[in-house]
Amino acid sequence: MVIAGCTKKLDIANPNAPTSEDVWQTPGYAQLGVNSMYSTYHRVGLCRMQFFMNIIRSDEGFSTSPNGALINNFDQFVVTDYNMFERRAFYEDCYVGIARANQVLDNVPNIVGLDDASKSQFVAEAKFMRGLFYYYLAEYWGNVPLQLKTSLTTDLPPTSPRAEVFAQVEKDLSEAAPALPVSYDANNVGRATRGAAYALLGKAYLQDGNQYQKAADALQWLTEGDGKDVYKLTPNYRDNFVITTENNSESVFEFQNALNPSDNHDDDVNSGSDNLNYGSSIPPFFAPRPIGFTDG
Amino acid sequence: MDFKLAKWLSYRFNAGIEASFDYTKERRDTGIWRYANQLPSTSISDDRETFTNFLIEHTLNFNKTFRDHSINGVVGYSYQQEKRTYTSASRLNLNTINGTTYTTISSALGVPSSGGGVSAFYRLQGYLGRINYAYKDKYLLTASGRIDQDSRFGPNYRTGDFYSIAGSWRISNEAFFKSNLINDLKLRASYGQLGISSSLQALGGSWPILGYINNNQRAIYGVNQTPVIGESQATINNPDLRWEQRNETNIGLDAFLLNNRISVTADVYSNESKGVLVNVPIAFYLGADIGNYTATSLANAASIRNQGVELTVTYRNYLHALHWDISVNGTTISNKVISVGNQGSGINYIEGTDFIRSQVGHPMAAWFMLKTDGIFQTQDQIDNYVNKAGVKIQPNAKPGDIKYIDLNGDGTINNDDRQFVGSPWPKFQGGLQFNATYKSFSLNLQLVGVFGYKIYDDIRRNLDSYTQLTNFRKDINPWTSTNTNTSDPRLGLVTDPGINDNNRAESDRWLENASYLRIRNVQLAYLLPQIFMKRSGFKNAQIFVSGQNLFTITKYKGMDPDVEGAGINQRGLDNGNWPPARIISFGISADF
Repeated sequence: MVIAGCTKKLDIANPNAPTSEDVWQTPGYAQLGVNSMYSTYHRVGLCRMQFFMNIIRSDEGFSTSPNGALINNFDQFVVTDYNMFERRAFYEDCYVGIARANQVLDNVPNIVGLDDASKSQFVAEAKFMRGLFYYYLAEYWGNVPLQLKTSLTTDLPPTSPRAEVFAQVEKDLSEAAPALPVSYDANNVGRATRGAAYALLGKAYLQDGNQYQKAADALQWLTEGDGKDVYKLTPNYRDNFVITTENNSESVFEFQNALNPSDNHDDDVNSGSDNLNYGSSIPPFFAPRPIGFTDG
Repeated sequence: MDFKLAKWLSYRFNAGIEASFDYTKERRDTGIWRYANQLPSTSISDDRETFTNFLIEHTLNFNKTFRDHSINGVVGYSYQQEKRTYTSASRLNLNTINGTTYTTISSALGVPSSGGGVSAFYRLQGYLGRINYAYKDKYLLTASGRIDQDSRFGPNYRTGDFYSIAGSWRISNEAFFKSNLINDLKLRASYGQLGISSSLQALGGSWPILGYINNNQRAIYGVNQTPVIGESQATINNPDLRWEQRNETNIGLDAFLLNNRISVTADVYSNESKGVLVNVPIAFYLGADIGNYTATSLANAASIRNQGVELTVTYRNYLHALHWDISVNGTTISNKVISVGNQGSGINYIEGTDFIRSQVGHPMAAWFMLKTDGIFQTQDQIDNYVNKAGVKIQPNAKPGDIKYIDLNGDGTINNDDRQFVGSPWPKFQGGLQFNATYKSFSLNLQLVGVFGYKIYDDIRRNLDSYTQLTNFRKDINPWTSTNTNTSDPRLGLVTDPGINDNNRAESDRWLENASYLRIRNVQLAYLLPQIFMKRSGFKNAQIFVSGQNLFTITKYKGMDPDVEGAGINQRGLDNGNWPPARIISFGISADF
């Protein structure tokens, strides 16, 4: 009998996926990391649940859902559960987006072999996305923890007051705007532009204690600065609501949606990416019976 | 295989292999499966899995006796590897021509999708040694040790070493011990450490310590709206994972009385599991998602202790033609969480769901929920249910709705009113075994009883919530103004906030006492006469009829009170897991 050799390999590499350390060595990976930020919109919290709060809670809509919890919590303002999935998914997804932006911000500057222009654009896009997600968090929740680096299990950031969160948003957007391109070629429409950053910055200043002058300074680029050649009102207002005139001259920042006939889930971390929803999953949830659930 | 190397030394080689090949095919034809939903696509899918597990062990056994001393022991090495791979493919929109539906993947018309990978691959290696020493068969001592390695832990924490020691004293062999009543009396004590990593595969897979890239994100860019792949690290890994350690301390007594007719075994035990591997929920602001909106991180977080007393008493009567023996045993169990690791300042608990909490000083996965207090019978009762400040506690309720207890008196019912209401761990487990032989017949009976624990019936919660409009329990008995003697609340649509309140998952409405007594096993056997044996060449042939889980006495209204739940964080949660089956079998067993 052969006595089994004692040099058994207890170091087994994972054949299913590369480690984070390995991928951030490759220049091509930076674009993939940036793409993951834009994918965050296809998660259920952002593409569906935030509309429960916006549309149903406002006068734009109401709910006749068979799920009474939705009617109570969104339509009637009767909060039965502060951790309800529909509400918490929006919060979670903003932080998932922030975590992805943090990964880009922490790793892209250190990539060897990537040119500086690309690095600075990717960093600017990450700052814009992080600013966007913290803007949502500050608007809907106010005082939230500020996580500004790649997360570790031992991280315990304290809660920051709303004003500080907005200050971070304004800082990120102001730094992003000058480094973002004014527009993209046809294949990259939908990514963050300089106009988008200035517009969101202006909006943030207005929400954050009505800082009218600073908002005006930010928005000026769009109306009187270089942006005036890019943005103008469309001749037909209806163009903003029709699929054939998407990304028109009024569009400052538009999340791009695509049709996926085999979509059956909203979680862009689950395998089964072929079945990922590439748009907003509002239609099946708001549509009338028998097509939809009439949740809103 | 055994080889004798010397009179006192032998070598044994042991190898085992387990392999399984699974093939699952799923086909969806046209049809609505849920009321008022749109028609889903037809589809076909094909999944294949291969599983292998093999084990090799080498041991050297030695045995030496000289004068009053006897020593024996073993040293050994064991190696184990487990691997599981999978491949899957599917396609939507089956093609139907002339009444024939084609169900192969390539014949379908829709978008194909596929997957595959290695879902498990790890190796375990261990070195062990044990020595037993006995002096005059009166004083016995055992010492053993193990060094274990698991490929799933990082190089700094891969190796764990575990030791145990045990001693016993046969008091009845002492010169001073003179008793007609007690034939044999032994006192024993032991302390042992055990390394556990077996929960790793289910909790964290084979590569739990490093961060891996998830490539399932899809961003949409461009006027053609094309999806492009996005990748990021979705989980937050813990590089410090290490062996769980269980320390078992035991003091016990074995006695034989009355000419060895009665035997008694008594033990006091205390088992402490340190650094139990648990998927600890982590804060959402860390932005992690392991899939399905679960934000957890695997950590050696909890320490749990089980303590109790065990007693077994057996009586044998072999004096007459009917030989019989009866044995009764019981164990008490007291389960307590000793620590939960660092969950943030001021937090000494881990919460798996809204109604289960593992808190220091309480049992693991204890029930932590709102307490109910019957049903409101009249509108006056609702109007008069106020707190000290006069605020109506349940203003949306109507007669027939569930009344909740406002624990903190703040005038609303919410998560701050939860309290500990019970444990999923039994307080006492007992059994009875009865064996009898008469000539060629033999009878075995085994009874088991488990007492003092509560189960959460999630199936009943689903059915009694009145949310889906088509499925109700057969014996539902809703409250009405003329039918008030019931514990089921009134019927209504879920647009009524009172109805919605009745369905809260975090209430003890769904909790039940699950103590049970069960006939676990009965077997009647007949030993075939020797005349048949000589002719057939068999040595001892028996025909038997036996039944398992024949009969259960319990108050639990769910499927079966023997529920383990989905992991140690959710023990006692009855999700409709497959219950133990009642089995009746007939057979022949023979030696040849």
